[in-house]
Amino acid sequence: MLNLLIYFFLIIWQWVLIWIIYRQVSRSQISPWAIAGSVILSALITPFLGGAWVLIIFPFMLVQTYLHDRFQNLRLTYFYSIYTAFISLLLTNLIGLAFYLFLPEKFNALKGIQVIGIVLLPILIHWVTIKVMRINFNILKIDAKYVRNNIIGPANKILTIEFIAFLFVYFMETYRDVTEAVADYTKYIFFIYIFMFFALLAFLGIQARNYLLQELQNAKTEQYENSLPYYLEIERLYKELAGFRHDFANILLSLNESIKSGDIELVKSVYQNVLSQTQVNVAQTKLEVTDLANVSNPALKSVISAKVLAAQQQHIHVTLEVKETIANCYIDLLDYVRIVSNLLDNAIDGASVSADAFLRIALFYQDDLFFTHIENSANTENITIANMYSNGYSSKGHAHGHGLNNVQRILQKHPNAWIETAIKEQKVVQTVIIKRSK
Amino acid sequence: MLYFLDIELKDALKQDNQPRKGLEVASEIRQLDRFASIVFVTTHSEFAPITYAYKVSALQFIAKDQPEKNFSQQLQSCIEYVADSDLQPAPDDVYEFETEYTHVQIPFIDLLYFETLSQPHKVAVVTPTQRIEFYSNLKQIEASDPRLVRCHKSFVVNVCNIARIDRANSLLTLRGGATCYLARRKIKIVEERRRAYGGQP
Repeated sequence: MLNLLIYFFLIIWQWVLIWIIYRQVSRSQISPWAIAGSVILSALITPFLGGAWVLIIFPFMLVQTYLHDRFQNLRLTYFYSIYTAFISLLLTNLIGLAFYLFLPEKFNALKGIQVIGIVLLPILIHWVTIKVMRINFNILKIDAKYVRNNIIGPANKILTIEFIAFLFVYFMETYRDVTEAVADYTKYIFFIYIFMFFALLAFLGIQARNYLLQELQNAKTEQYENSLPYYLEIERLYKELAGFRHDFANILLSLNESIKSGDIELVKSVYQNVLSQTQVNVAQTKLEVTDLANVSNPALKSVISAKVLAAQQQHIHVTLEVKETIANCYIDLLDYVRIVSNLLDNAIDGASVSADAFLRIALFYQDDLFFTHIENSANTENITIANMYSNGYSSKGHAHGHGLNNVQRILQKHPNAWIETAIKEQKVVQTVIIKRSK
Repeated sequence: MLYFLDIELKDALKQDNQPRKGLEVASEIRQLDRFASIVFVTTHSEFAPITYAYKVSALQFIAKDQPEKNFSQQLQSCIEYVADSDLQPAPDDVYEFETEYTHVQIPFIDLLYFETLSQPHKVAVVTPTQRIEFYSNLKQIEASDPRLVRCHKSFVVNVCNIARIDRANSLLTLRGGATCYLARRKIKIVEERRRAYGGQP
C-alpha cells in the first residue's frame, strides 16, 4: 500500500514539473481533467514501459493541446508539446547528472532530497533562465509571417532534432548497465545538455527581439508614409491660400481704383465678376475635416488625415467631428493607431461600393471614457454580424488578414477597451470605447 | 418633451458667451427627463451630431445659417418625429444589461447568443444587427432566464432563435444564418428548452 502511494506520488511529482513548464510556455489554462488524465495514464503504463513511460509525454501534450484549443495554429501546438516534453526531460536529466557527477558520495543515501531536487531545481532553472534572458513566449501567439516562419518553424526543427538525439542517449544510458564506461562520457553529455538548453532559449530570445524590432521599424515607416500625404495636403492648402491672398490684394487694389473714380457701376461689376467668384472657391475648401487640428497627437493625426484623403479620392464624403483636444487615448498609442487605421480601411472599403458614399468619424471624451466612433455607408443587405466577425470559429479555420480580426486581436490585450458594432439602415457603425486606467 | 437649444449661450449673470454652455444645459435636462428630445439649433461649424448623440442623446442638429424655408421644414420634421415616437409602445420582453457607459435593452426576439472573450469577465452579446461587449459572465447570464442555455464552454444561446441543430458537426444554426458551437452533452437540454420555448420568443 505504502509502495503504491509512493509510486503515485513520484508520478504526480514528475507531472508537476511538466505542467508548470507547459504553463510557463503556453500561458493557457490547464484543465483539471487533463492533469488527472496525465497522471492516470502514466500510472497505468509505467509498469509495462518502465523508464520509457516518458515517451508518452510528447504525444499526450500534443493531443491535450490540440483538444484544448482546436483553432490554434498547429505549429504552435506542436511547439508547446515538444518544448514541454523535451525541456522537462532535459532539465530533469541534467539535474540527475549533476547530482551523479558533483554530489559527494555520502549524499547518495539521501534519495528523498534527490527526488525533490530533481523537480524543484528544473522549475527554478527554467524560471530564472526565461526571466534573465527576458524571453517573451506571448510573442509566439502573434499571427505574423515572421513568427511562423522564422521563430516557430526553426524552433520546431531544432527541438525535434535535439529531442531525438536526447532520447537516443537517454535510452542508451537507461538500458545499459550503468558502468564506469558511461561515467567517462557522462561529463560530455552533461555539457552538451547545458549547451542544448541555452542554445534553444537564446534562439527564441533573439528571434523574439528581432521580431519586435522589425515591428517597430514597420510602424515607423508606416507613420512616415502616412504623414507624407498630410504634409503634401497642408502644402497644397498653403499654396491655395497664398494664391487667394494674392488675388485678394489685386481685387482690393482694383476696387480701390474704381472707388476713387466714383463710378458705382464699375465698383459693382468688379465685385460681381471677381469677388462673388472667389466666394465659391472659399466654400469649396474642405471644411469638413478642419477638426483635425484638435487631434494633437502627430501619429494619430497623420493616420486619420491619410485615410480621410484616401476616402476623398474615392469620392466618399467625409465628416470629422473632433470638438475636444485629443491628446491621450488611454492605451498604447501604436495599438490605438493600428485599431483606428484598420477600422478606417474597413469603413472606406465598405463605403466605396455603396451608393451615396459617406464616412463619419467622431472622437470625444465622456467622463473617464474615450470614444472613437466610425460609421460608413454600406450595402447592408449582405452584411451580418456573423460574417463581419468570421473569426477563428468559422468553418474555414484560420481567417487571415481581415481587418476586424486584427482589431479584435489588439483589443484583446487591453482589459479597458471595448468594441461595439451595429448594422443600421445602409450603414455600419463601429465604436471603440477605452476607459482611462487608474 | 422637445427642447431646442443653441450650443454657445450667453450667461445672464456674467454677461459673456460660453462656448459649451448648451451642452451643460442639455445634460441637466437629460438628468431631469430621461425621455426628453433635444435638438440643437446652431451654426454649421458647431455641428457635432455624433458626439452629442452619445453625450446627451441629442436627436438632431439644425443650422441657423440656412434659408428660412429649409429651416422651418427641419423644425417641422423634428416635431413630427417626436410626436410619432411618443405613440410607439416600448417593447416589454427585453434583456437588460449595463455596459461601461450606458444601460442597454435588447428585445428578446433579437437576442442570438452571448460569447466569452479572451479577456476574463468580458462577454459579447450578438443580435442580427449588433454586437456589444460588456462585463459579465456566462454563468450569470444563463441563470437570468430559462430561454438562455449554456450550449458550449464559450456560448450561451437564446433557444428561441435556433433554426437548426446540426448534431454531426456540433453546431447550432441560428436565425439569420449565424452559428454557434454546441457541446455534445448539452444537446439534450438545448432540445428540451427549445421545445418548451421555441414557439414563443
